[in-house]
Amino acid sequence: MRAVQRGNWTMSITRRRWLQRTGAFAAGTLGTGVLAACAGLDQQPGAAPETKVTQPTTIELWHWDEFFRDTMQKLGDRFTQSNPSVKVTVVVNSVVNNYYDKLQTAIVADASPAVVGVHPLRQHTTATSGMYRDLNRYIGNDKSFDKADFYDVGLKAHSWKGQQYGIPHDSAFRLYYYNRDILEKEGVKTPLEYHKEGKWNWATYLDMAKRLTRDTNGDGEIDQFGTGGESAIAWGVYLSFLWQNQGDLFDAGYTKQTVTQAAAREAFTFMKDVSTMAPVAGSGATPENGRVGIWQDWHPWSVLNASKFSYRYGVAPMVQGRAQTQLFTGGPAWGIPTAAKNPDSH
Amino acid sequence: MKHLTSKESFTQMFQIAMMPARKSLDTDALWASNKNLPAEMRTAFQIAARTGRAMPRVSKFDEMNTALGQAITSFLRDQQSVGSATEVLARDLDRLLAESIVDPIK
Repeated sequence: MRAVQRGNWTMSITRRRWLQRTGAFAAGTLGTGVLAACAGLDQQPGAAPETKVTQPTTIELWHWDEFFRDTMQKLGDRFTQSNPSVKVTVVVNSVVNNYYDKLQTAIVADASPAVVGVHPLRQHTTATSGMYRDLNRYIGNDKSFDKADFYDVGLKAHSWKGQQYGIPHDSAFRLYYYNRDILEKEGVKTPLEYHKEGKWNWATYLDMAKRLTRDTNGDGEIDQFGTGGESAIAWGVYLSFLWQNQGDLFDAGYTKQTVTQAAAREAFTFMKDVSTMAPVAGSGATPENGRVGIWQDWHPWSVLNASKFSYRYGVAPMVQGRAQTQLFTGGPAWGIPTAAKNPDSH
Repeated sequence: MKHLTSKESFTQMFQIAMMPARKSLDTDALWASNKNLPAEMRTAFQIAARTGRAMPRVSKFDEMNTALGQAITSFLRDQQSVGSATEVLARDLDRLLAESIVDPIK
């Protein structure tokens, strides 16, 4: 663990306290969770005794979200205020593949970080490679950790064959955004209004997108698009549509793929139909510049982008197919690398 | 220094739209704390939390996702029909599934 150790200290104690604090923020999602009650800061009944860290030490926390850096560092700094010997350094490698490449390199170099973000796309791949500690026994020793308080799907998402390798710090999900100015101008109800009527479904979405897609200045070119289209590479998109149509990638036992079945092909065809009302290459139209009516994205998108908008926007739940469902990753999560120093001392 | 409580700490995360992973954090006070989030996002979040499903439990999902992205891109760009693209995808997924470790829990 790039534990960047500078002094004689008990890594576990520091990490546990850090995790508690992240835990306090990790556990913001963790709750008073696994990490939260491990030690000290918010000492819970039954928590393990804590050893003071007296030598200057730096520990690292790794993540991939740049927009998350300041928040993580702020909490790390507050941790340091309570634990003056321990400095927390947040390391952000903002492309997921780079993040994992660098993490693997650090581990091989015996310089593993103390705490790492676990990305949904690579979660099981890295877990099955043995990258993370099983947190179950810390959970078991922590009377304040209430599994039932977690969204079940989120906590289970970071388990593998009975081992709990991650604790969710966020409940990642996708939703629809819409340009209220465009919809109002075109006299089209909003997805939220349709949702309230129980009609926010695939057929409604396609119909709305068709009505919003048009040449607004009469030059013969489409310049306003009904939808941003559905991403080909976002796993939260195709999985949601497959499941909404009661299809899937695999059968229940994961013995074979099922993407050639009718339910899956219909879902893919729906994505293709949506794409015909999305900006074409060279159009320059984007949700940000106000030329797209409806689009899907992750939950932080509006907070990160809304200040740039020159229009009013709204949000609506995920569109509904035959079934109301979607990807809900229960993540990202926090994990403790197996290669972290003194892992057994948590 | 006054120690943070988990709820206090999560409020900081919530300001950048991190969503609660614990049910007890989904409170009126929390949602009122972030003026940048449309109120309707809470509805969307709660529906997602109630109806959502997690990632497929296969060890090679990252490679499968690449294959899926290629297949979907090919029919969105009219390079192949949906039927042809899914036939190619099916072979890729079967191969990767055979190489994967799986953990089929519900």
